[in-house]
Amino acid sequence: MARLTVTDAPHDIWVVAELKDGAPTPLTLEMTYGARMAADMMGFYVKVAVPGSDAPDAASTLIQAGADRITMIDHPAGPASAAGIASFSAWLNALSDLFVAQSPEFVMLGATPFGEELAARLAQRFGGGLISRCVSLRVDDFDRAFVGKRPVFGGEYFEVVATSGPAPQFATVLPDCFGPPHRDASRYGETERVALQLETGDQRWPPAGRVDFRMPSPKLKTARRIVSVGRQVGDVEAARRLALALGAEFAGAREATDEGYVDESRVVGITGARVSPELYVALGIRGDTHHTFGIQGARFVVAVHPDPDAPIFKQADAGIVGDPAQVARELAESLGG
Amino acid sequence: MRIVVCVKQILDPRGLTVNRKSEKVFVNREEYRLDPASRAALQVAAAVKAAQTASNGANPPEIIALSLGPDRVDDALREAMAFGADRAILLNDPAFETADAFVAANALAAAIRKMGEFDLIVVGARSLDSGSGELGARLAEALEVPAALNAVSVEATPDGLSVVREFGEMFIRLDAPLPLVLSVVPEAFEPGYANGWRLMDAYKKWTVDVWSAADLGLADVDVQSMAVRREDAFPPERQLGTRMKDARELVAALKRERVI
Repeated sequence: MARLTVTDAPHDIWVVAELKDGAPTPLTLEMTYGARMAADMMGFYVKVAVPGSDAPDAASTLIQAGADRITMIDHPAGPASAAGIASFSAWLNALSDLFVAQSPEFVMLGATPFGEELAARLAQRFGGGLISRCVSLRVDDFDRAFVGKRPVFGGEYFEVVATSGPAPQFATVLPDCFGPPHRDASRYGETERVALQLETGDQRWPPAGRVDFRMPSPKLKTARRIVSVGRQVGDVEAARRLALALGAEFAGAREATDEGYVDESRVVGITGARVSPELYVALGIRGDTHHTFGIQGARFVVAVHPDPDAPIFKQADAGIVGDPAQVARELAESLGG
Repeated sequence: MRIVVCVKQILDPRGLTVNRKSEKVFVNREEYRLDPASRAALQVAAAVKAAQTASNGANPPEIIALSLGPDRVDDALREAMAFGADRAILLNDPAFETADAFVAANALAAAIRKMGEFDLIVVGARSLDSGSGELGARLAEALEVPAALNAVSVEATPDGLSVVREFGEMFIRLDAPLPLVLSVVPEAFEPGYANGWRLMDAYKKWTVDVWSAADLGLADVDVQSMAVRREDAFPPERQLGTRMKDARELVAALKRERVI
């Protein structure tokens, strides 16, 4: 397949913005600020492509966060909607035309459904490197490369990856990669507008409609609190009552399905859901890697297990060596009263 | 109808220990397994085949499992046949040793084109190990077809597929035409098991075809990785959990940390 190439010598760093309710998302502002820091070091301009519409204040917000030039790509239905998905290839083509003409050296996108799909397609189209899902990212001024750190095995550890190849080079970034942006109200920037040409899109792609759909375990993935049980829980009803008292979702390690404590859809771990609650209470779970893999995103982990050497304690922020059911009952009681 | 399922073999994370203090990954048991997302992709392909066979029994679809990697990936492809693939092809070449998603997509797309016509390409949305989630979109780009990524539900319809895809906090139903690249979210599909008889046949009766870079007619630029891994990095050592005496002390700690 013929690859696209940029027109001029590559220069500048670009951000592909995403809007929500007419305003740039926090991740977009963070990327703009991150691009600003790289640009100051490299002598680049920061340019932001904004696919969307009805965003009168978006440009000034982005300029305050560090952008020098904004290109609004306008269409009444923004990309992050059912209609936007149907016209995805039109957005993709608009951005690749823009990049051919403007010759960016680096392009940053959000690690979101829209950003990741765009980034992978654009990187394949231009043949440049892509680092997906960065938790930290910088521009290496010697190699003129993106250098990004990204999670492996769901965040068990990380790998540091460098891009190479023809311009532009791409990266998608996760939230908190650069920290909150500094707003500078005195900054000055330019804004241009281009209209999205829907007919440039892939005509094979028919319209789509939004649906409400229930995943087998939708609640686990987004739950803020989870009470989870393993083989050593002792009294599973005590654990269920604790979940009720906490307003938590009830889940289990894989071995809890053997005991009939939870069904398949409520398993946390490698062969189940990966969760990221504020609070994860592990009752009678030993904590082997296949389970702890699923809880890397949890903010505060409580472990209760009779065996003081159970590996779960190495993952826990707070631990009690003892009878899980007993502790569950006491906890539920002190929360209730 | 031809369905191609691209599968990935990964290092089994159950054999790994990550030591944050010494900043090393210890491989206690070097065992490889079929990625869970690839298993889900195979199951979805088998379900589409079953639906198509029921409506058009005279000409049942063929499922081809395709992978890229060294000799050991042979196992993953035999497992894929046990999961319902009719045949399997391994892209094995020293040129692929350091393949990134760009090289993988180029090689897989070249292999798919070499097979001839295709209707549906199924991949996992995100593998358990590196999890870049790039392959589906890259393949769609390389093969110049639409993509339905992050599918949580797939049904065969007379003209294509009815797909529900995840999109951030939304779910969106797509009436997807063929040919199509489909990526599936493994958590959304009940884990299935390989057929025991098929597993025996996969090892005793069936073969895995092997294609090299030369067979695929790839140019040098197609096998040049554009993202190079420099080193591993580690999260800060986790504060070893504070041991608590009882529930009361725990509740106090939870309140202090503002988790309740």
